Amino acid sequence: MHAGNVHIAIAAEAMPATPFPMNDRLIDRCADGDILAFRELYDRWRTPLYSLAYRFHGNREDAEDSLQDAFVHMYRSIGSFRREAKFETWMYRIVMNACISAKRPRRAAERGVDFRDEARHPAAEDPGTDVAMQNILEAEIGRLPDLQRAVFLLYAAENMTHPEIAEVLRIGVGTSKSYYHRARTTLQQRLAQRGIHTTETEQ
Amino acid sequence: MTAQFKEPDDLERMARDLPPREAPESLWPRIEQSLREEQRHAAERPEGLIERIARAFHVPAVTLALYAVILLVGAGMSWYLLREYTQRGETVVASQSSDDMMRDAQSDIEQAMFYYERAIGKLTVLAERNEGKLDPQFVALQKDKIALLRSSIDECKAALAKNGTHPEVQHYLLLAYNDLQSTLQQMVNRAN
Repeated sequence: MHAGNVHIAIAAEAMPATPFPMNDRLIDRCADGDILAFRELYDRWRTPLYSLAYRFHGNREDAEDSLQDAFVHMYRSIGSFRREAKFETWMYRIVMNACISAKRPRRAAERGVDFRDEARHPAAEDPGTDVAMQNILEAEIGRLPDLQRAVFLLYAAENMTHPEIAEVLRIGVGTSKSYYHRARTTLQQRLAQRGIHTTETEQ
Repeated sequence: MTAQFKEPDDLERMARDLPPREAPESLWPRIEQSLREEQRHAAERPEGLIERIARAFHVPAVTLALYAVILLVGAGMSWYLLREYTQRGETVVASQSSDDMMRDAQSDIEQAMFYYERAIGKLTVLAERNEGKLDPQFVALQKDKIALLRSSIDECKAALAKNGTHPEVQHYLLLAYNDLQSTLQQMVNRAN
């Protein structure tokens, strides 16, 4: 495939249901301060939560710090988690809060691999390959403003609806849609500049 | 995360297909250490009453504290307003002139007489209805007593017509009312 003319096929498919359902027993154990229960919680969710934090920050260190902060916060506040609320929403809210509030400036030397650096320097490899496209996309997502990036990741990568995102980020549904629209427009433009053209369906 | 399906476009599909990032093995030991430190701090710091209640009801301690503050403020305001109201009532009585108070007292006595007469009227009807069930000798005795009490009442009322605030006359009138009411009541009770 040529770098200047990459088109991606659309294939709508059913979204996967949450593969990590939480049960009240585990929540109770966590609420009682049982660290083994937290280990179970961590094992169930570490990959999606770490992926989200990694894509938000664009580097390993910040992602690890945010996830650590998020779990400490969960440990402190799981006792006050209201059972009528959705546990996943509550957990994602804590993780996103940790990510957004952890915007500590890190010196470049302290960072590990930072895909935001990659965004400033065109990929050496052919953007027609899947891996290259994914790297470019991650890099461009990392260049979005914080809330736009958060909304885009939750909607597109985590497959949440706007009402769910509104609950997680404590913003309005309209705001969520607006941020998502802006993020998508920016990403489409930037990807197009790098030879990746996407088509869109109506929202 | 959601059961609501949405039609993905290219960008969403690309984003969803991003490969998962695996958390490094070193992350859990860091988290575990932080949790143990939290556990230690929590053990060192005694849990407050609000925190314990909040934990029992699964609500944040801050929310519970807020409710407690609202409740206390509400109770305080209620007490203050009630106290104000009561004091105002007492002040109204205290600020009345002697003449006004005397008129009020007289009006209260007249009301008492009115209610006595109304009760006596009803009991008289009941007693007359039940006369047949009673011993005629007992009825005769009671009738004499009733007649005597009625004449006393009439005398007192005549005296009050001349001097409406005479305390002794008022006292005897109310005694006669009370006596008449209990006599009639006794007749009704015995008949039933």
